Amino acid sequence: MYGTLIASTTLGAGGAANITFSGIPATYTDLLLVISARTDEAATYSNIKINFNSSSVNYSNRYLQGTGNAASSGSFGTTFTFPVNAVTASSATSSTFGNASVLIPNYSGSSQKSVSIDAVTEANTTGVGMSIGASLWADTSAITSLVVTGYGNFVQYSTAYLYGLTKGSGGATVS
Amino acid sequence: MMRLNSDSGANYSYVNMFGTGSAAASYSASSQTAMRFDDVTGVVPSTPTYLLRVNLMDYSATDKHKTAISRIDYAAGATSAQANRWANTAAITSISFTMDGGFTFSAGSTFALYGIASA
Repeated sequence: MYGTLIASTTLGAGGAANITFSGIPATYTDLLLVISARTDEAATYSNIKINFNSSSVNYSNRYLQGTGNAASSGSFGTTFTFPVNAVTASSATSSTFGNASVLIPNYSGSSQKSVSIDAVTEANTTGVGMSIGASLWADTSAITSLVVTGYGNFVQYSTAYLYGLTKGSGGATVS
Repeated sequence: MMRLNSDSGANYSYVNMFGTGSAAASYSASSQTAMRFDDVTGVVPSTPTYLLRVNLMDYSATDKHKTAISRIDYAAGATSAQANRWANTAAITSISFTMDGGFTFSAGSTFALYGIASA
């Protein structure tokens, strides 16, 4: 279900504070962002933040997470889309990276933007997590850029791939 | 709810886990007359922001029941994951969506079907 690769980033030595995709064309139906990342935050695993079109308002989030010994649910704030347990961090087993898949249907349409998130960190140790999440960017603008930021810098070998998905001629819109 | 090949018999079952932002829970149901994707919160969205994603594996196989892994996301209500089974070995040739309770899909709602091919 990965469609057409729009752009990708692989971080080199020194890593980066954030990963940016700009100039996103409006020619696809949906966007799929796939991330494999690790940060230098003093933690075992952590979360990331995604902002659309440089906006830091009108977001809402609701997530379900499991940590290997407990399940819980939470909601989160208004300043970004919030993949939970999406990255490993400096205390995680070496060479382990978290993964997140972020689906944004109808990203270039004029409705508010719903986001579906799946995220995992697995490092063959305790203190890891996985989550599913629902996010909303209550903005009717077409998404033309997005920035991914961690609670620490992303390290070398972290990757992010942005795919465009195009529906067939049989897709329907209720009018 | 979703029906495959117009089957409205009691041939569907599912298990669901969900988080409402304050509680996590799971439930299951069998002998259903459709694949149900429940809004566990009962919150009716005022704008088309309810997101449903259904992965139907081996849809054209004729030697197995059909399974689906689904995600239901509504940021103002809940996020959930669901496993569904249609107890029928027929290849899937049609998919229909219907709102329960006599409700209708609002203007602006979109539906897209993708096919994923093996290498």
